[in-house]
Amino acid sequence: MLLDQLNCAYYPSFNPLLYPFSGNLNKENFVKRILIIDDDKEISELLKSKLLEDRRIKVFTAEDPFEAMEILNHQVVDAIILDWILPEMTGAETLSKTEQVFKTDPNLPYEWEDKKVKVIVLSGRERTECKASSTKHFRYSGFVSKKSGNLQNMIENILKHIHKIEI
Amino acid sequence: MKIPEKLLQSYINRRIEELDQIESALHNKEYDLLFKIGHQLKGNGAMYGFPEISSFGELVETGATQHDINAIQLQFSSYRNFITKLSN
Repeated sequence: MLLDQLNCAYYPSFNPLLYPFSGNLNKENFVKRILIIDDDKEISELLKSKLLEDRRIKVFTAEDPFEAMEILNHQVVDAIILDWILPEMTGAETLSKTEQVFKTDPNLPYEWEDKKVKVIVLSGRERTECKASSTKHFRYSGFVSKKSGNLQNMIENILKHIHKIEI
Repeated sequence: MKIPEKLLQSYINRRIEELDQIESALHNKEYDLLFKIGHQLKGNGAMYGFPEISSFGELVETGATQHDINAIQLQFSSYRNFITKLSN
């Protein structure tokens, strides 16, 4: 009852009780849940430590496609930072396979039903080499290059994408 | 952008531990392993503030792709010295 009232007061598909928040009830203060999928632990740990400096971000990490699928099966996220080349398959193949798993999993968290997750590709390859079609839940919306090695630029670019996420 | 000291130290420690692994891979001509190590060093070295590590990584990645062990061997001693100095 209260949930329905809250839903009507905010957004039709948005339930603020599902989201931890870091301050007042302005949607910009809701914590965004980010999954980093990268087989290079040096990079994922560094990105995680920098992103966590923003109190409005919660970070999960996965080193391989199977770990990523396991996390996504139990945890809804708002954005994915996706390494393009992973062990066994590409980042795009990982998300494709995740969609297939979602279709057949009876215990999938219900929040996944209408969820659209922003995917930011992070790669040392050229942007033109890292293209894939968006799927029901995963929307490719950004590319950040690892090539320059400039950590500050990388973090700023990633944060720009993350803070545009609408919950 | 400042990298937390603890993370930086862990990164350097892992590079030290990795030296023997690279030496063994060179000795056994394990090109796949050399490619993986080189590729990751190329990607993460400069991010941690060590473009020298990225350069070495790129050389290892290319050497592994071309099966050119000598090219890697030639630079490995300098790389080893560099990492050892970092840890001191």
